[in-house]
Amino acid sequence: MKALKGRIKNLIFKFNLSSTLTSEKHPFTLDYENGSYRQRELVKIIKDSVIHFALTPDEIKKWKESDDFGEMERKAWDRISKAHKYSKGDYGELLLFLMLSVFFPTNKFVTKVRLRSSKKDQIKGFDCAHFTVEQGQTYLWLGEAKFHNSFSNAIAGAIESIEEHCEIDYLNDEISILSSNIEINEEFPHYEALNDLLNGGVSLDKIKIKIPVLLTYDSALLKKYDSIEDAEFLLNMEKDF
Amino acid sequence: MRVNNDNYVLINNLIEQLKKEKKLTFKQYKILLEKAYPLLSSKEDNIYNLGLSVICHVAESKPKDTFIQQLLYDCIVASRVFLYSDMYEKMEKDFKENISTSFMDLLSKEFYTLDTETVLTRDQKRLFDDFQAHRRLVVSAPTSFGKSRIISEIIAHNTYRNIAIILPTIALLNETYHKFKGYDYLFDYNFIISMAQPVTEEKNIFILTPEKMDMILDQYPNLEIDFFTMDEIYKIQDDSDRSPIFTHCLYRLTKKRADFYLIGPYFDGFSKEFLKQTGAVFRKYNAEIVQKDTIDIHSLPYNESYTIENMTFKRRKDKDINLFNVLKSLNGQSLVYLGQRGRVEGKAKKISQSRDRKYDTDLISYIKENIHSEWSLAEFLEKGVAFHHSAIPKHIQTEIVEAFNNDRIDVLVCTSTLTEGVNTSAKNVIIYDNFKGKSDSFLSGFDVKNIKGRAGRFLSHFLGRVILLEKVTEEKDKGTIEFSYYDNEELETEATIQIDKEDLVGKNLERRNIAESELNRQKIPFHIIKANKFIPVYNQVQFINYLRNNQLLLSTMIFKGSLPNKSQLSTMVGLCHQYLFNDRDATDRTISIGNLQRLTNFYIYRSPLIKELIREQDGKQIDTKVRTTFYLISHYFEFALPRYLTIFENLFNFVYEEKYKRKEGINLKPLITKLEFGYISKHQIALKEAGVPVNIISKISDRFTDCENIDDIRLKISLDAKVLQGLSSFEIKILKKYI
Repeated sequence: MKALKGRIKNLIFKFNLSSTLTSEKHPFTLDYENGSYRQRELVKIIKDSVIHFALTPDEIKKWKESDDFGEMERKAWDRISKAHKYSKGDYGELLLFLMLSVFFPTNKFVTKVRLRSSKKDQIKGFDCAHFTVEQGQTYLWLGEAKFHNSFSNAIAGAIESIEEHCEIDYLNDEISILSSNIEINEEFPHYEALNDLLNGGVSLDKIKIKIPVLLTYDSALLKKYDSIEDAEFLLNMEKDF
Repeated sequence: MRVNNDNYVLINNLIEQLKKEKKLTFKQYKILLEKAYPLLSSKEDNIYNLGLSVICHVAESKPKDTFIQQLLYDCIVASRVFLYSDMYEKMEKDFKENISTSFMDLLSKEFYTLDTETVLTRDQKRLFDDFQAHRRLVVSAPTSFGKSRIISEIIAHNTYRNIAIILPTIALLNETYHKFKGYDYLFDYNFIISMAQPVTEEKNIFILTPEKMDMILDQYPNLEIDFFTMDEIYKIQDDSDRSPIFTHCLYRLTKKRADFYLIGPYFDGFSKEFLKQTGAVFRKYNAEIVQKDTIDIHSLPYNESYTIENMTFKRRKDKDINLFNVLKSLNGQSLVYLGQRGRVEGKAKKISQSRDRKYDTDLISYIKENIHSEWSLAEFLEKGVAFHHSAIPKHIQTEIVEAFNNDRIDVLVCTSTLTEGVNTSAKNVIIYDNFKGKSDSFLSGFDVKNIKGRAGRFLSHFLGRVILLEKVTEEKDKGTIEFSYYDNEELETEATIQIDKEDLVGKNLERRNIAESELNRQKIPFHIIKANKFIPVYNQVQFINYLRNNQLLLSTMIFKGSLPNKSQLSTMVGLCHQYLFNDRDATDRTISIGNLQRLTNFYIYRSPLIKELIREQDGKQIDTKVRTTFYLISHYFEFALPRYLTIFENLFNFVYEEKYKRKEGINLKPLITKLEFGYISKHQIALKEAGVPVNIISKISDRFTDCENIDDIRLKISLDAKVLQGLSSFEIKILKKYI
């Protein structure tokens, strides 16, 4: 995981917005290499991070011990993408987690959260379901990630989802928090305490909820430039927002 | 990971409630699954097992709510038994649509998917990795674990030239052979399931009993085996008749310096000395992927009520009434365990009398035509009931199990022959007797666990149900399995002469030296005695000395042609009985020696059909006659007499040569072949060895006189459409199964 975080720091850059935005908003972009935008590297990072979410620490150890580790990984991706062409949602989940880890550096405990709202009788998992413990207070991060071509579509989609989340009816909706034993959780300093809390039947009333939202979109500006050092690029990006 | 005690109690209470009431409220389901979720990533078997128990019990109750289904699915992913999800989908078509699965879930499933596309369970994967790392593995794992599935994966993922798969029963051989034939990735192997098949230079998979494997090793002393596996490995220690041959076969195979995978259910450890000598590793797995639900009716007071599948009964004094009630209420296939062959047939009769359902299978008319029109099995089958024990011809056993697995019958009354290794699709197991064989030989805790293990089959059932109609010993694992050659400091002389001298120490070496010097004094070469495995040395020497002192006999036994005459054959069988029979055969009350001599003659010189042989038996009851005939064929003709007569021939020819300084004594090979297979010519033997029943061979064998072996026969059947004319479609189906 450490190496991954390093790669992210070298790929994704936060830039400053001197705008009048009031709530927390953080613009990011990838950098360029030899004049081209490094989308491919981002794909690689997401790909490489999947294993850390999917496997338990023991499984990762075994997976890496196997001689043809790379070959196994390739085959696995091959088979999954053939069988499940349209399930792309999880990549957003990963990118969101990675960015939260790098740019909001609190240790996060990853869980599965399942919600069925009484309004829509449909099961929903969240794109992000993490716990943090900050100054003794437990926070549950229920996040959204939107991949869209245009910024406005992304925003519209996100708002819709957030509205849905915020309508959680604590009396009638069903929510389940399942603490999973994945590699990232091993580093979590309050593991035992939080695990006990979840095992003991957690009441959402006692937990504060944060809602991180990741919006991504294709900016037309990216094609015009070849470096993020370019002052004009930054200026135009600001305008774009 | 630790489970806090409150949660432990809560989970167990909810499972109990679920068992009783068949469903829970939404809240209860939710709590149960949420609590189970973290248990499923525990490294401790008992905690993980509790998690599996929750999955199985919840799945069994088929909750309708999609949110509960989602939580169940999340638990399944956490358990890493991904096939549970496929099983659930089979029961509940909408399952996959009701739940959402993530990319991460799929990726973790891929971790358990091998190149052959086989998806392993969590423990199967661990086992597979252990094998790949250590190469020599002894494994104790529950009945439903899927241990044998790993064999084909081991073969597929390694490059072995010759492989031996040693199984205790013919039924298991057939099952394994048919399963393996279906795996595309094993296509380039040559399967050998009988002695008559040609062995190729390499790429052979021998699927044999230890007796036959031992013979193959005698026949091909330079055969290289680079991987072997033995199932039901506890039999090297705990099989009243066959432990010596299991031990010996294992010993010889380990001397080949091969990789190996030894498996069996429910034992705690394996001979330290064996592990040390071979550099092998022992592993034990406890998690039951098919959970068991036991209903103990025997321990209820009389007239107390109990409920099975929504039907409520009172416990009665009469065990049969309890049995009929239980069978009335159960859904799915049921095995009824009884301790003896005769009891099995009797109980099947009573059960079938209590039912009036009409079933129809091809097997019924086949039995009426080929065995006996009044044999009760045919009558029972019409009521959906069958019985199964060791003295039923193998192909009929196979057909019975198949009819059972295909829902064409639903009650199978059986002895330990079935429970010790045949896989069925039984959902329920009813334990009616608490003994095995003799009525004072009680089932051990291990036996009970093994019988219970037959309830429920992975991929078909989440839960197996066990019903106790008798008080049984509490189930318990075996301790450490001993490998007598290394662990027993006081072996029998017969064993010491089979072991390489460098492996013998102390008293065993002493015993071996005494035997050698005694044989020396008797002027009997060591190798003559050694070749006759596990026949008491004393008896062999006695027999040699008897022959030495009876010159007249030596000359009267000599015959021309391929077979001895009737009186010679009777004398031979009589002498075998006197000198070579083991205790059990010598005191056999089912078939007296006089009858054995008479029937052997009838069999050899008249080549009767089974129905004619049945007619020759003493007794009034058809069923008794049929049972005795089957026992006569399967035990004496096919197994014991060939063995005794081989030894007779060896010892006789040794004395003959000693006396007359001439090599041409007697040749009993054709006689033995005829006993073993019922035939003498190659094409007939090939058909018989492949498992084709006698009556089918009789109908078609004259069309294959130009065939040398089973491959020729296979070729002829596929190219010559007329060659099977005259067989019924059921007979063709049977034939195709073996060819």
